[in-house]
Amino acid sequence: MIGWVLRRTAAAVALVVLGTIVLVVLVHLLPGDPLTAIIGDRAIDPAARDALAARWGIGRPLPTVVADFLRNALHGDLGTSLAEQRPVATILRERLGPTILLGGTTLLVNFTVGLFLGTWSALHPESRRARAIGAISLATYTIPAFVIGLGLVWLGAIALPWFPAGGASDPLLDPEAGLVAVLLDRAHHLALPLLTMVLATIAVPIRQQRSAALETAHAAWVVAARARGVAPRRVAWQHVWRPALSPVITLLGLWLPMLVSGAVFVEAVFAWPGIGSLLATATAQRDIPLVIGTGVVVILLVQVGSLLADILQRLLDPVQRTA
Amino acid sequence: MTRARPLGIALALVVVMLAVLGPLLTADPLTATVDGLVLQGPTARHWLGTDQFGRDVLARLAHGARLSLGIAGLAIGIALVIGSFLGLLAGGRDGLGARLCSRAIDLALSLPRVVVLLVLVAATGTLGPLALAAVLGLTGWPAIARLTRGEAERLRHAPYVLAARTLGASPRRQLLAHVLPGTLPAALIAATLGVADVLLLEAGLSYLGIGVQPPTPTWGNMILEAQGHLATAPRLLLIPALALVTATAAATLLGDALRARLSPHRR
Amino acid sequence: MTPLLEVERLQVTVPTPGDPDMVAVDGVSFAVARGEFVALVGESGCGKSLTALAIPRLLPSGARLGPDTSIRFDGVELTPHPESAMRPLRGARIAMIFQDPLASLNPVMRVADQIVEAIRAHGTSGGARAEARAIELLSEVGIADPSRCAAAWPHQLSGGMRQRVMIAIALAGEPDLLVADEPTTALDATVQAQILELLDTVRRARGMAMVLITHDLAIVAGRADRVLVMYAGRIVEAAATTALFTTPAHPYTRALLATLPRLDRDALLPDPIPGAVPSPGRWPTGCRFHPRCTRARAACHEAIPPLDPITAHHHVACWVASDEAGA
Repeated sequence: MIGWVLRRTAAAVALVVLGTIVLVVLVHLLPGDPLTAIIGDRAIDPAARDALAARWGIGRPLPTVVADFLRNALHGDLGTSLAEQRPVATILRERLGPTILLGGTTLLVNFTVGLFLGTWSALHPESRRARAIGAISLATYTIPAFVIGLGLVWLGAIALPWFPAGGASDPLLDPEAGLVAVLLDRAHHLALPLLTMVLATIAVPIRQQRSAALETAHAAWVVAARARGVAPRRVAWQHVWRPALSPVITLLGLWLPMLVSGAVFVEAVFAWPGIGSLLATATAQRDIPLVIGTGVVVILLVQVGSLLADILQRLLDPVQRTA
Repeated sequence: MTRARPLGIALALVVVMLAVLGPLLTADPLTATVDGLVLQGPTARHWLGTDQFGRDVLARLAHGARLSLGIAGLAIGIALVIGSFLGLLAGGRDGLGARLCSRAIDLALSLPRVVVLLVLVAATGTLGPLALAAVLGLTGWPAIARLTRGEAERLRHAPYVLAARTLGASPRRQLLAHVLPGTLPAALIAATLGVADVLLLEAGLSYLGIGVQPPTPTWGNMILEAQGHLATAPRLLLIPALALVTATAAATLLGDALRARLSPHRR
Repeated sequence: MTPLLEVERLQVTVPTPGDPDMVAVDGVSFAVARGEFVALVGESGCGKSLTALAIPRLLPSGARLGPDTSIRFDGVELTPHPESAMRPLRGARIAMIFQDPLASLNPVMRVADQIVEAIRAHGTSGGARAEARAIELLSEVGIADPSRCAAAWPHQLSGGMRQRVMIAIALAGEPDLLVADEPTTALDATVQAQILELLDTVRRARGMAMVLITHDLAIVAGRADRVLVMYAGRIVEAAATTALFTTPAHPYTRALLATLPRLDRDALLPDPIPGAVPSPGRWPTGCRFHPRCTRARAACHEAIPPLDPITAHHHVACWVASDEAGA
């Protein structure tokens, strides 16, 4: 088991490094002077231009540029943002929290509510409710996340003004307000973006769990469990849901990139101050160091998530665990 | 799901007709109406009303359809060519080259598509529709390559390929004449489903302001412009959103229908 | 003394794509006394598994019992019981073991947990006492290192060990009746014998009745008290084991016995029965065996023979056999 974990971690590290290299190389491979691409049509003074040239290795061979970038990245230096003239790493640190909050809560909801609904649908396959769940989740999956977001903004912030239309917190909140007030405010702001993310992505866990549970629902061990008089509820959880869990956890790793794209667009709709919206605005401003730095961090997060999911899946499956 | 297939074909036809015929039959999407009627609801002259600059919404919708579908078609074409080729190389043979190819596909798959897309857009700046299609195609090939690779690996060992080999066919001929055609159905299905992804991505990019730039209409930037008028004219959001969802659903249903037709044994 | 189990006119219909109400078990009646070992023998497709599943009412969804069916356990009529009334019986009074021990064990639960679950299903407390009892049971079914087995996952055990675990689970509730649906079919020949021995030992030690379903007539010789032979949804012969093997009355039974390889005969190959077992829904009119029967007469085409006694404890459903016995 340990050997496998080490090998898998090494693979994840390799992917992050190679992904970073790809991003850096892409920028440099594009036609034209890379420096022009980086600076765009910004006004910039000669000294800064020279520094940038040195930094991005204009005139230096590509492998050196890549190596320098990697070396700096390992020390936590991801470059300097052109737009804000601040270290990229600092900006990222500020914006990471809100994304983790939004992404984390989405994950939590999807893999609790989603799994529950999926299992329930498998146990009552012909019921109207199960069919409704399937249809609704498919419908919301087809609608792009930003459209769902805008729809919810209209519904929740304009038609019924119960929720704020954007932001992660109220800038006018009294700094002396107690913890409860702060938490409530945050929750209030989190509601619509979270609902958007969940609606856009929950179809996948529901369908996966449903199909996995349909298989286990007809398994011989379920009949055997009933034959010993086990209560129906326990049969449902211990004998239908639990063995169906393993394939769904694998899904987690594949689902993470969907979370990323969801985050970029949903954060844009709600002006959520996370790294998704950061990536979008940085792209619009052609702030290449920031874009690359953010991209690298996103790749890192996705790989870490995928690694954890794989380890979890392996732990949950006794066959793989004892292999 | 089976009942939905004819629906998918019907929806697709509606969307395509809108894209092809619409621009020929409607007003100029870029100019405001002469009478300057702004933010008007549906009337006899403007079936879907006008937007905040007095432009005919239906005309913009139709032109946007043409542009979006065109970009999507081109992007998928590019992705299909690159993806099939690389997938074939990776799965259809043995050896170092094939293994490297396979690893390259795995690496490309591990990168979140949105990230690569945004990096490319950031580096190239404002994109015209052609460049946008190219960028979308260049980020879309890994999914097709993975599928093609799987099919190629499977078909390599199929009896008819073996038969060709015993008749003296060279590895290249085996690959091109026998394995490649076998991978096409799967690639086609992936491509059809990929159209849905590309439509959504192009709309998303235009919504973020980094895709097709206004005043040229595309459904994505129509949605962007509608955001500021959500309270007063939610119709401006609803109409392009509905069009987008319809087109995406049509592409997905078509892909499912294709899959059922072409590989019924592997539902 | 009332029999422990009385099954009368058992009819089971299953929904199939062609026929929503296909009859798979057509009027089966038998009784099992306390502590008795009854074997139900038949080829695949004759309905024996469904008969077994009907007793604790674990039929697949959509399957239904016929309106006339009566299943009495310890004097109590089970057919009108709702599911909630059946559950206390399962495991505690009627236990069941199945053919495929790997598929019948939850792959993500350790052996001990599954036995403890059976113990706790009927109200006994869990904890250390239940764990200890689980190990005791594993030892009783002949497992050499019960603690290690208890801690293992199902996929780590051999086929024979898994079946022993299944038996241990079945015994956990101290049932009065054990229904065993082809428990040895999936096992190697030597292991088969061991499991059958085990079942016999355990049964005798606990005074437990057992209904054993099998397609292999050979394994019940010398073990079962009575044998019921089933064909095409009906019982065609019912007798004490010795009587069945020495004086089989039904042509099907005779043919089955003739297919068993024997050391004391000259013929190298057994005689197969010509033709094939008719599937449910395609049963011939009259006696269902008549198309393959060497002794069929006109009457056999017309009416289904009832299960008639030819001696006090030997019943047969055959016009020819009944006539010969002077019934």
